[in-house]
Amino acid sequence: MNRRELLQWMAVAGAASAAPRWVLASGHRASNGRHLISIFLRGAADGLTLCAPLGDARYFDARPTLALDENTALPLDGFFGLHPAAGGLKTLFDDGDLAIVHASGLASAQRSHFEAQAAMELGIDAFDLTPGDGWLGRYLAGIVPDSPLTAVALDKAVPRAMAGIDHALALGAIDEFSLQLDSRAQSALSQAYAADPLLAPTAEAALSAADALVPISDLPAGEGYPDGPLGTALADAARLILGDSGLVAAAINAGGWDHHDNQAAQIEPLLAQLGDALAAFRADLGAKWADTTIIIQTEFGRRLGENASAGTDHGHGGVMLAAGGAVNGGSIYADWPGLAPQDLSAGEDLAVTTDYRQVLAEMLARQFGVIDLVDIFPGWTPGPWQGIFDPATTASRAGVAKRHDLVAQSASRAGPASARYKQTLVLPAIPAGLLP
Amino acid sequence: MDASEFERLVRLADRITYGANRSLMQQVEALGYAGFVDQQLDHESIDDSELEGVLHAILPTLAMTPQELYDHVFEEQNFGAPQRDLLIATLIRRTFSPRQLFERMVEFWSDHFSVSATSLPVSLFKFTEDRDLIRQHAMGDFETLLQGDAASPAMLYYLDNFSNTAEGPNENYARELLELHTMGVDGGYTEGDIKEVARVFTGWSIRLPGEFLFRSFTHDWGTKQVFGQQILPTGFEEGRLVLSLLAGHPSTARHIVTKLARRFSADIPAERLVDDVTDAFVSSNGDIRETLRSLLLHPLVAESQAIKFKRPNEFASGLARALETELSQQSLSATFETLSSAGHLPFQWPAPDGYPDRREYWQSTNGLLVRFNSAAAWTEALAPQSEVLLQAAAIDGPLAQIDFLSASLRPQGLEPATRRRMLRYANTLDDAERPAALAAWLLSGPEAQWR
Repeated sequence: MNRRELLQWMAVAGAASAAPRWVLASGHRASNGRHLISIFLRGAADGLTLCAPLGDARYFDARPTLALDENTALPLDGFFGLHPAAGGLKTLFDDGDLAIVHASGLASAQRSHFEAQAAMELGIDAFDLTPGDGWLGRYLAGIVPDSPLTAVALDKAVPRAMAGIDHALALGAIDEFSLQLDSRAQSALSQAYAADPLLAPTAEAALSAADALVPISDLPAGEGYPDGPLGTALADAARLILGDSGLVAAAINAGGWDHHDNQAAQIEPLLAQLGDALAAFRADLGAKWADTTIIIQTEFGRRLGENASAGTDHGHGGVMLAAGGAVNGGSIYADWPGLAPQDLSAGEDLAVTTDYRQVLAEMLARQFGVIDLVDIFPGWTPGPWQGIFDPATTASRAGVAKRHDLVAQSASRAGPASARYKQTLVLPAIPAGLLP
Repeated sequence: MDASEFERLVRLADRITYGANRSLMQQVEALGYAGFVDQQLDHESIDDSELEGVLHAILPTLAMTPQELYDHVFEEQNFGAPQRDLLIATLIRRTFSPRQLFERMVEFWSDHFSVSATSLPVSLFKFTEDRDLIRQHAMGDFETLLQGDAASPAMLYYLDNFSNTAEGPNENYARELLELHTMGVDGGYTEGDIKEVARVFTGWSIRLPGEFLFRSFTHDWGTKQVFGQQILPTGFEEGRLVLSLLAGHPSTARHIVTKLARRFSADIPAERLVDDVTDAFVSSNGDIRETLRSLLLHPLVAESQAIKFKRPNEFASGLARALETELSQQSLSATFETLSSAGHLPFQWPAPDGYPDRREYWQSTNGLLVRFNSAAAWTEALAPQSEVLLQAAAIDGPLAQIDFLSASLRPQGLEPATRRRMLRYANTLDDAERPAALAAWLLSGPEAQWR
């Protein structure tokens, strides 16, 4: 086999193993106009700090230095309280726009970051057979991609959750995703890539996305987002939604949640950012908030008992968050397993009583019109809906502002948020003619 | 030499270096593939004193002792110096070092023992770890690297082992040691083993300005059970013993060899290749040079096609090497900008598993867009200092320019259809813009993304 044949074979074999449903059933359904924003908190966010079980004395025993202070924690329902820095989350919760699903995660414990993230992104339990595509990818494979900006990762790469569709874009940041080529160069490159079966879909997607993003990048970023990559990504997601880009789903990575030491100081700014970014996102979206669902996951929760470094090691049960105008917020959805030794997973971690797939499935079924849920979550046993998500199969179109109006209205809005985080290099003096 | 043999040589040279160019191909042609591999494996016999002299002249931190570096950073308040200078030295070495395979192995071990050198303490410790451990033993033996890494302040700090004590074990390092550095996630250890290994490493800590310190009073002096074997409480020696057991474990050999084979052959390496090279790893007691020799000369590598999608750093260094640019602020900042946009700056992957080494991750719209833009911007900006572009500009006529550029930038040759497309594009360009535009097209085109 020569190289060309080999690449052809890899392309065919890859497509077959990665996305059989894509081949068979691609594009059989139109998007219902709603937007799904999937945020993954990488590193395993500590659910017991994000949303602490203040009504359980064992929590305070296990966390002598890390337990939240019941006097400063933000009260939710008399039993749980939010971290005081998460005021943004508290506002959304009180307004009924944020639901918290506690003691959730992978049913089978998996305490490796990489294995647990992979399982959750592929939409399986820890020890199921591994499909080649992710749960978001399988959902998106059933949607007609009627815009180049249907499926977007606001990151340098497409996460595994979105794997399995050719048209998933990795945008990085909108203001950096522009093509610096003239039309002759662009068309010559496009012709060159047409000859490579593996790379052609990505090259075409990159070229057409760059065109489609031109009007979106004219829309300035909204105000009030916290500094940092999460704020930047959500500001970009808002521009895609407000600009009527055709966005169906966006994936965002928020890293830095692995706190084996000095957790209190490390988690505080992250929780503040998370809450503030979501609050700014809601304000920015305006009427479109009603058409948007945000789902926030992390690979597992952390151990109940703190370690000697004032941090926490890997645990099991964690927290999921769902936000948006059509979420039954203001409630904590938890079949609380308790913190007594016999109630813990492996005797030391919060147990999982809600399979994370139950939450994702309810979201897809109630708000995104998905019927074939077992195809998206192979091996999952459906349970009754918990009522986290309102049925909302059609988007509320009221108050939709056109992009052009928004550009005019928003002349005073802040400049591109992403520009603030660009890394720069101070170059050393290099005399001419040293090398080669 | 016939064309297909020359093409094979280019392909293999491209794969084990940061990019084949005209001068490298002269060497490879003279030595043959096996001879070139031998030469590159014996890296100390290759003179890199000119490059190192230049680096030390422009980056005085490279020669500093840990104490001098510490003072430079904290007393003289050069807080960004360790991160910046190691980054610059690394980018320059990858592009310009004559010890190309050695630099690739430095990168391999930097990914394998990944630390995110984005905070001040980690970047300070990583600076000396790179110089005094990784670069010393990248071609040496695996156990030496493993033992050195476990005791390196960079890893002790990054994975929190410096605060792992008998009173409160911190499992972070123990878990990644087993999962990432040695046995692999399916290597056959349990959650219980992780806890016991964490106990073994209690007391392994750091003393400023950047040295290993064993704190016997925070060490857990109980007996431990690791993989069913009793570890008697001998203090510091327990950790040495466990690392030695891990270095010699069959799962470790397979895990390391699989990663090496993934780097140098295919995302999913052939089972037989991994079997054979694992034998070489085991029989040489983890000698990296012998393992590499077995891998790179194996028929499944030496005869294989270019099916590895280049990572962004391979693209970026390859671009600079193909254009034969000189070392300058422009070429350095071009490499930096490309890797920054592509998310592949050295030592900045945010998790302990190191930058991915699979096409699925790197083949993204952002990744290709960065390559399109970089090739266009570089060829234009670096035209005055690129030997290849200067020579191309002196040639008359599109056809002759195409032949010259393809022979220089893609020595493995062009498929006839590619050459026809190139000619069509050339006909749309005027004389002044043609050499740089055609070079950009070739270097950001599909063929140039595989190695």
